[in-house]
Amino acid sequence: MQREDEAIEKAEKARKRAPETPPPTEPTPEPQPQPRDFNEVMQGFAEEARRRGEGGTRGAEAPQGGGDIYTDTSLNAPAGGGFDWRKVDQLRYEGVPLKGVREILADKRDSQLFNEYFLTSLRPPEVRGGLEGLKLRYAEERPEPEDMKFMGAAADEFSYRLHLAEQKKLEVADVELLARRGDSFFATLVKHEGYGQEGLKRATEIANSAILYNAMTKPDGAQKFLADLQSLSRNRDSSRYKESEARRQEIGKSVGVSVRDYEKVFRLDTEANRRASKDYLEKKIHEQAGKFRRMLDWMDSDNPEIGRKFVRLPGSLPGSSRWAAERAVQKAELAGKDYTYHLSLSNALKTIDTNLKDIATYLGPAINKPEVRTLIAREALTNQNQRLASEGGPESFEQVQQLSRGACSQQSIEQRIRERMRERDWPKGNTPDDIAAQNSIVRDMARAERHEYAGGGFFAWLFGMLFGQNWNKAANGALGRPIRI
Amino acid sequence: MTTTMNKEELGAFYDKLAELTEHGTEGDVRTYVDHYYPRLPETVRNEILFGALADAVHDLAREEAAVEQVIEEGLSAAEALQQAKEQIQRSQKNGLT
Repeated sequence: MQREDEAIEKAEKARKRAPETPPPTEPTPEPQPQPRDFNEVMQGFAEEARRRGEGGTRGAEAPQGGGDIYTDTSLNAPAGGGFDWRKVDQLRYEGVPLKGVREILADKRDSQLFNEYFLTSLRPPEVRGGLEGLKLRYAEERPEPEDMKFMGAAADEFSYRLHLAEQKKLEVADVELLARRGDSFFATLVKHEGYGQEGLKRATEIANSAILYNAMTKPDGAQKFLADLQSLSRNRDSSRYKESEARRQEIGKSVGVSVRDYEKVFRLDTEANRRASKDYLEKKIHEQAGKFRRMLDWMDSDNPEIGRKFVRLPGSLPGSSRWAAERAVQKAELAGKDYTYHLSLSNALKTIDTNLKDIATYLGPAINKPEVRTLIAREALTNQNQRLASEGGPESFEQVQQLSRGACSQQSIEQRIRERMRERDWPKGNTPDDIAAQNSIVRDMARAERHEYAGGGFFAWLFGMLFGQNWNKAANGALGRPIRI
Repeated sequence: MTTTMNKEELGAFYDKLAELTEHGTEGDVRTYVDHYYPRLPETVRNEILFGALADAVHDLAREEAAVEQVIEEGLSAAEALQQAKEQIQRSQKNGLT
């Protein structure tokens, strides 16, 4: 491990000593001045720019436009929360209070987020020498126009991500609700942060600071997380939700299903009772869901002979409640008048009453319990055979395994690196410059791929860990020397 | 008081976790992470906890949307049935059958 560190350090030093592709007019800067703290340099540069009247509060800003060298936006599409500094979509920043580089660096928290998390998480800028080259030129106070353009765009993107993270803060009650979902991994882990309100408070603080960190490094994941949070609060606060609540209560009342009848089923006081209640409910809900579906089938069955007799009223859309009502009425009438339907009028009334009770019980007071809602939702999602959306990285253990055995296995990665090594512009020599250039290319490849699979959930984290390991091993194998990605 | 893993231990933790991920089950991975969680460095713990939180929020939001859909469908069906019932009762009252 020590030898590996030394080799890496040596290569890095060599890389810092000489820019990778020095322009012919510029001699290799030697000896290298002692690198200064990046913040200090940036602040100094911003001050200088201000004195020269080149920038306002947004010190390192550069004019838009310029060559469009980098055109592959598939990994950094702005719609997904990515960032392509050459193709900035200004609409993305509408309504966002934009900060300039100088302003960002003047704030302790912002400066740390910008330097330690935000800049390093970006796909390396396509400027001479990548991010390291850019930092070096700033350290030498000779940034190039492209460097300035990148830093200006980066400041805008940073402001956007900060704004995104500050939109919603979790409350202790939110974390408590999530911690009650006993089978989630979060509920398991949150116990380590301490019990009771103290533990929840600590977990809430961690979660809120993690939102900020994630917005900086994985905006897709953070954006999705915030969207989920917003959709939850929107559902609960909406007038539609309240209206549906009132309708449910009305139906329960009309068929005599009281809150108490169903409430007594739930005993959540002890672990054993909770489990027993859940087992019972799972069974019950499964049965009810079956009945419910059969009832809908009954209403929906499309006997062609009966179907021809249906006359839809204007304005009733298939699938709407009015349409369903019309069909139910017509079927009920047919049941009374047309014995080809094999259902007597009294039987039709009986069926209706039974089904109404079933629905009222199914949708009734029980649905207000989080545990029950979860069961109902899972049943519904299973019935609909819904699959998890896979935007922004793996979202299930199976996806992680699939990727780590396929496209992101050590063998696949090694093959990609070897293919790249066969290209004409691969630096083939063994000089420190060649090694530094090789490392830079391989790291860029890894970063670009990492962006493709970035996500915010636990499985994305797990995959990220595996991805790093496989890349390290593959790069070591392909290059025949230690390299840390 | 548990001690935080040192660099070597953390490396071993990642190696074992990678092995479990490739050849084990989700349950194995969860149990393993849960067991060593208190000894992980704070930054790693925070990343894992946020990941698990994001999953829990995502699942909850997804489930809530599904429940809302079930409620809406159920209410539509119940209202349709109530109307049908009223229609039949009117028919009976008028002596049509």
